[in-house]
Amino acid sequence: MIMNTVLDSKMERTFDKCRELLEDLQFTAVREWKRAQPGRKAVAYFPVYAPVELIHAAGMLPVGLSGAGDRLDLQYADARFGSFICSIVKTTLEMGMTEHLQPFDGFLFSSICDSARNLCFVMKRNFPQMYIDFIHLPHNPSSPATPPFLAAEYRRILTCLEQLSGHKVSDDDLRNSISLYNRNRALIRELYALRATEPQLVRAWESYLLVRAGNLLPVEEHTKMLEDALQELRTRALKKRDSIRVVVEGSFCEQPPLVLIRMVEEAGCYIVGDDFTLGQTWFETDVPATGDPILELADSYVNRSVYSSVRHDFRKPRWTALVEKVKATRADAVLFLIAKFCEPAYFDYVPYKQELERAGIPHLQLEFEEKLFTFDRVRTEVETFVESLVFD
Amino acid sequence: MPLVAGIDCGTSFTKAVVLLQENGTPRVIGKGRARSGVNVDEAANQALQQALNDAVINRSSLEYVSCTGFGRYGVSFRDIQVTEITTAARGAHFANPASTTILDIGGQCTRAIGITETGKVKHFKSNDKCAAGSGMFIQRAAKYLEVPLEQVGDLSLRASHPQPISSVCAVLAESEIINHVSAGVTVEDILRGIHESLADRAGSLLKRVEMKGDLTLIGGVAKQAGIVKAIEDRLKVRVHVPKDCDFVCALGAALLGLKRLASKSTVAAEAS
Repeated sequence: MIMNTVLDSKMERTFDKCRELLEDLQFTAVREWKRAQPGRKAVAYFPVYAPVELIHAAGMLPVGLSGAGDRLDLQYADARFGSFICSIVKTTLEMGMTEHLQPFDGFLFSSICDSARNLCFVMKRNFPQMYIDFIHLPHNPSSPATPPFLAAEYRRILTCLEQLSGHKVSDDDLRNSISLYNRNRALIRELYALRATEPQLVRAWESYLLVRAGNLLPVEEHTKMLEDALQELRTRALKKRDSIRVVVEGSFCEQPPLVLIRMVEEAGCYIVGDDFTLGQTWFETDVPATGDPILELADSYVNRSVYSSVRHDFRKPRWTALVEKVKATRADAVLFLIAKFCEPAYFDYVPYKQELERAGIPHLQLEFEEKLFTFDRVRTEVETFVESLVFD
Repeated sequence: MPLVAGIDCGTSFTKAVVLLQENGTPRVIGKGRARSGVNVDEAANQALQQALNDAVINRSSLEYVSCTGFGRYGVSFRDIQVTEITTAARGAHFANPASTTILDIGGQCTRAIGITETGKVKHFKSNDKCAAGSGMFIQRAAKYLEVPLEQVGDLSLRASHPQPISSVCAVLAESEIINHVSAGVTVEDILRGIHESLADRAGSLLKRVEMKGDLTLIGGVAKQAGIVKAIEDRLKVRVHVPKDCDFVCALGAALLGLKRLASKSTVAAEAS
């Protein structure tokens, strides 16, 4: 018992640190990293995926943006985006307009949806002095021309990053970065596997904090944090609750409030699979750290990526992949947790729903905004869904 | 003969029923109601005491208390809490087993629920944060129009030229009502316009739960004949309003309480 108390207080400190990191709109950790290493720069990227290895190999700190949650009132962004645009796009611009993004020296965006694409160019117009780039991620994975196309795009981005950092990147630099991120992603996969097999040992909100902290920390530091956490979590002695097992789908870009994730669990669900901060779990297997590293990164995007609403791959439709995920994690149901105005998630909800119904898998759709602060209605809906599965 | 209570802690009123199971058939033997106010526990106590008085039994005879409604977690003496959607389904199915679609219009929330033949929730959809589709809106309109709430339903039936309320916001809808009053529209026509507006909103919720066959209408608002007529006319559906329509969730909670009690007794019997 004493062992467990000591262990849990140690874990609590880790979770508190992660929570502070993701609630800090001043990006203090990034500022401190730059202060400790004068001359080095930080490059932020908008979700969902960015080739962080390129930024890392160029000697800079890659930082994943995740909006501002409920901690920033909109003063400027509403004048630049329509009212039907999702919250993360607006709060990201608002952070820029209110100098919260001042620690960053560059920004990368990609073609995940119209709003994010436009955000890139709105940012460029508003911050002409900044390095802001758009990665043209390919949309046709079936063509043999796709990996070379993406490799060429990555080389273009890398040249810009080299100019920004003043550091010429070698193939060995890239291979080293790939290895470091491979290790990090493998640990995250391990954490998810632990949640699926022993969900009582690690709650989804705890795993979410641990993983999302990686958006803001140097990969080396985050990997160490994950290694320690995995070791400690496995020794926990927590009782199994009478909960249903669910996969959460639809939160791959804008992130639900932490309270909402906790609430879903408290309402009687074990979240045994999810797509929170999907960029950090982007590859199903390691990116080969041999051969031409740029080509390997490009080929991995085409052939090793997880299924997602922002990557169109009809070699294996994502609705088939969702059903496979449900089976692999032995989930009882799927919860669609979709950000308000998120077009990719809402477009995909229809084929996902049809496929789940064909497979006889119950599902529930819920909507959130990152600034959501009342949860009673959502809680009632989740509880009702759970009750419909557990009561005769 | 198991004796249980179901308490529905609603946003406006707290309702309680006492249920007795005789020869396998549950029967309501007492009902009570109290204004919810700010103290959920106290309101639940008051409603339950009324129901016990109505049934002429002592509190100590109760074997199980299940709670539902927005304040379900606030009742200190509960054995279990269940959501108002699940209890609405169970209660409405008990009251009208033939219906598989339920519309619950409460004080703050309107819900459409599609259920299975056994009363389990299949689909459900609630109105958004806004109160424009709920009983509170009617209450505010009645207050502004200086009409006692219990007369709203009958007055609405007497309308000759219903005036639509097009706004989706309760506050803006009140402005529309004010405009109608200044334009000389009769109270009857305004009230019928409000009921039709509510019916239209309910219609969009019902479509999303794949409404089939007759509709069971429950909740306090179901007592108003005007809303029943408006739903039948606008949605072209036959509406069934159970007796004691505002006690349906409390009844559903009590029925689920009976089930839990039975399963506990089975486990105890197996253990001995």
